[in-house]
Amino acid sequence: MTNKVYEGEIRNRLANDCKLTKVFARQFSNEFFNTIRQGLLDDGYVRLHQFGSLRLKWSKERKGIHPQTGEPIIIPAQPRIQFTTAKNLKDTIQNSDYIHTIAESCASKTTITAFYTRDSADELSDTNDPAPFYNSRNYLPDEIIPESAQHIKKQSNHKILAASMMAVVITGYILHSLNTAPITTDNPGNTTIALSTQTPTVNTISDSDQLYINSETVLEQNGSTLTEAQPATAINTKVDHEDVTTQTPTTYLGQASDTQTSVSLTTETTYEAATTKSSPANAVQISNTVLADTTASVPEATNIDHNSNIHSDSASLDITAQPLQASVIQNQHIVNSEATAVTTSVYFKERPYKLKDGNSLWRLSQKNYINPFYWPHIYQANRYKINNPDKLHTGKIITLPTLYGHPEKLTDQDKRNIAEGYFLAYQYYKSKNTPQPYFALLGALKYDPTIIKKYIYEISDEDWKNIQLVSN
Amino acid sequence: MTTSELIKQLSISLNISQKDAKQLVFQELNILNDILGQDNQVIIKGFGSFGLRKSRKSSTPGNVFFRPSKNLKSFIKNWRPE
Repeated sequence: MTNKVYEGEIRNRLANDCKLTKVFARQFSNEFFNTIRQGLLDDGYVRLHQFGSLRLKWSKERKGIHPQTGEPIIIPAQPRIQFTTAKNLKDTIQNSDYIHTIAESCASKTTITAFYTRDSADELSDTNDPAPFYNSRNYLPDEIIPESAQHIKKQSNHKILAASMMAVVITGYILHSLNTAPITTDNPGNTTIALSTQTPTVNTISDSDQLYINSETVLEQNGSTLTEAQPATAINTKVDHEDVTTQTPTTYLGQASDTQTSVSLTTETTYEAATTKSSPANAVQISNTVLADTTASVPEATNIDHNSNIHSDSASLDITAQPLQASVIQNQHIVNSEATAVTTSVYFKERPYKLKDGNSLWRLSQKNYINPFYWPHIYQANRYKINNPDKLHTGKIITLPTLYGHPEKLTDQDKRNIAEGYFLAYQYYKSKNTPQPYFALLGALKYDPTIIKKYIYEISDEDWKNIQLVSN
Repeated sequence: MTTSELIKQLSISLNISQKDAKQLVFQELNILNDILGQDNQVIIKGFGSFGLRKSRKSSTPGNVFFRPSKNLKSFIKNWRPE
């Protein structure tokens, strides 16, 4: 049975799938069909990937019969639109089990930039994640990218590769280390903690997997030094030369030794876990190895949201692991019970602001963020409220976005937002044919050069040359 | 106009990156595909409607037709072939 589906439903589905606001979904949908219409008129055809093509055809004048009166009439020559179905759509119709072959669902794959999504900028702060395989500048041939940007691309490729490997390895290592028997020690204050996980990806890495990264663990046994490769680089690697004397069979990385072993770990893996249950501190450090001065006991309960911030030389990525269930086996101690809570100090908290006469982004930035050059931060946050960054409409309510770091010591997130704002300003000036729009790009370069990598194909060659000239 | 040109146009007019525009375009087409695949008619105001014209033979799949709206017809009425 044929049902009629209207544009509104399509918009809603688009908004849901891609986590867009309904306003933006409407705007996109309107623009989508308007562009097709204009393209049809300009080029005479519009080809839509794996959907079909619309083509204008000229039908000649011909004779016909009036359907009501039956009199012969002449149908004038006129353009008509012909639609040709793509093979993919034909297959879709033919097969009842429809398989999405155009693109994977936005929900699973897309990280739409924050300014037109429902999600806040905080939730989508990891915008420098590896881009999807298509249209990723990192996987395009070198010759397409200007020479001066080659190093950015190479670095980026390395970062993505390293980040991907690190993500897999470290996730596995965390799970592995949480599931192996803990190191039991005699020293007072030593910690024995085992965490059992309910994460479905427990089997990601088994003991037999050999995933090594350049990190090494030095084991000293009876005076001799053994060097072993460690499956993962430490998270927030912290050097601790404190000796740990083990008494019971120690399982370490899947290898058990029956003898007493004097272990000196040159690198120590430190995990930060934020407990959902109330505790003196919001965060406790759980360590495989031991730190002194630890007396407080871990609460029996469980449900620890394990957030690991992983940093390495080549890559920086955030992994939010699945909720874990912690069960303490024996000698339960919190390491560093007075651990400071993970509370990010915010210099300027987001708040709405009603525009008044004489307001400008420059002045608002100067007033609220001290530095007037941070005006793109406001522009970026209010992209769909402010069209022209040089003209503000009195009475409109805008948002003054959060500035996380001090104006003199901006955080990476702040820098990224500001650079994004500069780039948006560049796009605006370019669309309006403002002279020398590339000056906005210089701001983006200053605060976050990776933004150039991200949008490199939206920068015209002329502007690119000018940037190089000016920056040199 | 090809899909890539459409994406470029949309990224400029909506002021979004081409990557995002591409994802949105593909998702839009995906939704249209999905709806037509479920034997529904898609009606887009000011543009036209896509529907499925079934074949009399049960073994033969139907064809997708496009019926332009009055608005679109009047928009293209001055078009002439080169």
